[in-house]
Formats: sequence, structure tokens, C-alpha cells
Amino acid sequence: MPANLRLDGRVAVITGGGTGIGRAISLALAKAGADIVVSARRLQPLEDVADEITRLGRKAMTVSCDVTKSEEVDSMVGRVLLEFGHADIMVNNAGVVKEHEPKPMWEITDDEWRLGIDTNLTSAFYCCRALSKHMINRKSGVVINLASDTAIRAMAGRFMYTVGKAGIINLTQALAITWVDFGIRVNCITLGMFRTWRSGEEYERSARVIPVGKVGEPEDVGPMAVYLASDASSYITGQVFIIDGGTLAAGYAPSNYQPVIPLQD
Amino acid sequence: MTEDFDLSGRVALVVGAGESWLWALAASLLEAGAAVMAVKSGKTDTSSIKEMAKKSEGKLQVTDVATLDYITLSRVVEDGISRFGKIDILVNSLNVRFARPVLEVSDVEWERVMAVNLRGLFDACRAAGKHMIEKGYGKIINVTSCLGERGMANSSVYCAAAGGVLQLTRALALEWAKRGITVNAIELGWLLGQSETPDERITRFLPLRRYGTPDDFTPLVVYLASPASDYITGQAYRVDGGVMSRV
Repeated sequence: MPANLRLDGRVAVITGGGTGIGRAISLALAKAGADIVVSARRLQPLEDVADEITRLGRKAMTVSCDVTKSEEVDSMVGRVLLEFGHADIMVNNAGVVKEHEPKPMWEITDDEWRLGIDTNLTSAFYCCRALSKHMINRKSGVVINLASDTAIRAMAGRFMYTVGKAGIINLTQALAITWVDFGIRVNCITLGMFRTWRSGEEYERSARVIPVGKVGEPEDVGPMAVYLASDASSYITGQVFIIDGGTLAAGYAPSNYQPVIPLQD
Repeated sequence: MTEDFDLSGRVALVVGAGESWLWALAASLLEAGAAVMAVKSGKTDTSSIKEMAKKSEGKLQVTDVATLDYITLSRVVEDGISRFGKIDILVNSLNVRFARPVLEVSDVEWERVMAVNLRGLFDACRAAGKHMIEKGYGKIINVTSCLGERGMANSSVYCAAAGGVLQLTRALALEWAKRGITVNAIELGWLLGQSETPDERITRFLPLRRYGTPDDFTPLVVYLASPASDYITGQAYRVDGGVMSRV
């Protein structure tokens, strides 16, 4: 690994770090040399990831935290700074809300809307806010926010997910230009369909409409997170990096549509 | 229609080739009150527009040109000025359709699509723009395709030309922004070609569940041709049945 991709001596906090994408990012950052704090509501998956990180020779810390509650986020950041003395990388990954099956808009309650926006968007704001003074004082820091293709193009009936993730992209840009003079970089990784908590059958169906013919694996995200966390990307801030197997490059015609039109004119 | 969209006293030059919707563009501009010079290149059947010209009391003139180069188009512009006194509006609809796997594309095919869809549009903008700059007023509307922003298999040549049209639109808009000329683009989604039948797979894929018709985009052309849009420049608006909003 080139030296400027190494993360030795850095501390990374990954929300939703116990499973799926968050777990893959945690392990990739650890392999690049970072010490890792994984947080989520459920502790058991975090302990498993922490064991793997420890086996890689890095320090690991687990924090049970509901990122929709700012006092829990503040407390998590306090504990991290107490333990490590600094935090260098914030990965806002928590927040793929398993939204209810699409239903008529008038049946979505205030609470459902707020929970959706809190989980998908406000959580990232809380985490960035909790670390902002620390990073600004040190004139150093990297934030990586996770969004979704649905932030850029909508899916029917997924209001809170679509709107919250769109907010993540604009939060990324707003923070990037706000902190550009403080040595803090903020970027966004935007994902298409990835193999996480759904059933295998759903993925098979999705794979048919993805240009490369398969859903993403969590391990496909790790290298991008390492790159954006490292000094190798030091000139990059406020940008959106899409990893989606070609999904957003397509979308003008059904998958596998391959017209042939001879020159007529 | 409010008077904002009125084109009375305006002169429009419409340049078409391939699947250009020339007839519909000329009809809508005429209906809004403009005098229209319709210029077309290539084999597209123009009998219906020539019929329309006969009934237009001199407000519609149809011209065939062999090639869409700067000299030819400059002559067309001069002809339009001598006939109608000026040109306020340029609508480019240069849409030679072409799709083939990239390894099977011949040099001639690449050159032809580029020569019409991109280079022809550039030359039309130059020829009309020169006159518009002298007058300090002009509205340029480039009709192109959503494929300027999105990929599709077998469509690399067409996509490259359409993407070029979008960037040309933005660059030209800035270059002429202080000259009183607005330059905008309309990206069309799936419109049914004159000899095409609907493809069920496409219809199902479109959020509005139907192909577009010329009537779906000509009002936007009129809007962008009228003084109601004088603060709009460098934009590309989509008329796409929702297809660009879906994943």
C-alpha cells in the first residue's frame, strides 16, 4: 500500500459499524492502520467486529449509541476523546432505515417522518457537530458521509430515505466549504444496491437491472473509504463518489436494451 | 396564453436534420406569432411543412440545404434577414439518430453524426449568433436528448454528440451572456419517431407510461424563445416523461 494511503496513528469513528457496509469500512480502515471506534445501538455485532480489528493488531473500541439522540452522540465522542485523546476520521454510516413498505403518503405519521429524517440525516449532523470543535482546534480531520443513489434519483414511496440522503449530500458540501480553511475535508460515498440486510432473492431481482449484473458487496466500499480518509485524497473535498455498478450512468432505457439504428440521413 | 409568450414581430430560424420535429416546431412558433425560416438538411420528408408554408401568407419559408456548414448557414441567415428583416430566435433540432456497438462503428458514421448533431449546431449558432450580437438580442434553443447526460448501450456516438451539445450550450450562454443572447437546451426523452411503433418495454419503463409527442415540448420552445425567459440562460430543461428522475 502506498505510504500516503496509510492511516497509522489515526482514530476513526464509524457509526453503524457492527454490520454490513459499516463493518466493511471499519475493517478496511483498520487494515490501513487506523484504530477504530465502532458504534451502533446493538453491542453484540460491535464486539464481533472489535475482535476482528484487534486480530488485525489495531486498537478497537465499541460504543453503544443511538445516533438519533444528540446526548448519546455527544457522550460517545466524549468517551472516544477520553480514550484516544483525538479523533481523525468520522464515518457517518448509520442510518439506513428499514423503511416500511411504501404506503399512501397520508398514512405516514409525523413520528415516522421525523424518525426517518433523524436516522438518515440528523444523525450525521449530530456526529459532525459533536466532533467539530475538536477537529477545528486541531486543524485536521476527515468526514465521510454515506448516501445512496436514491439521494440523486428517487425511488417511489421512500420519502424519508430519499430526502434524508439528499440532505446528506448537501450537508457534505456545506460542511466542506465551511471547514475548508480548517484542514477538514468532507466527502460523500453514494451507494447503489448493496448486499446488506435484505433477502438473497431481492438481490437477485435487483442484480438484473444493475449494469454490471450484480449487487455491490460491502467489501467494495472499503477501499474508497480508505482513500478518502487518507492523505492521498488531500486535495478533494465536498465531492460525491458514487459506487453503484453503473446504475446512475444508466437509467434512460431498460437494462439490456441494446438498440441498433442504421444511419438513415 | 399570456402576452409573455407572444412571439408577434419575432423572426425564428429553425434548423432541422434527422428526427427533427421540424413541422411541429415551425407550427408552434407560427402559432405564437413569429415568422419562421425552416431549414432542413437530409432526407426527412418535408411535404407537410411545405403545405403549411403555402397557407402561411408568407410567414413561413422552407429551405433545403445540402450541408450544414458555416458558409451555407450564413447564407441562410442573410436570406432570412433580407426576407424578414432580422432573426431573433434560433432553434436547432439536429437529431440524426444512430445506434451501433462501438466496435462496429465506421469512421463515416462517426463523422456523419458529429457533422450534423454537433458541428452543424455549432455552425448554426455561429451564423445566427453573429447577427444576434450585432442586434444585441437573441434566443437560441438547442433541442437535444437526455442521452447527453446518460449512457445507453450501442449509443456512444449519439451520446457523445448530445453531451457536446449540452456543454456547447452552457459555454456559449456564458460567452454571450452580456450580449443580450440567451442560450438554452431542451433534452428530450423518448419521442416516437415518424416510422416507429411504441416498444412495450420502453413504455413500461417510463414513469408517465407513454412516449412523448412534439406537443409535449414545443410549448417549452416557445417559452424559451419569448422574452418571458430573458433571465434564463445556460440551462438544459428535460421533457422526459419522468425517466431521468427514476433509478
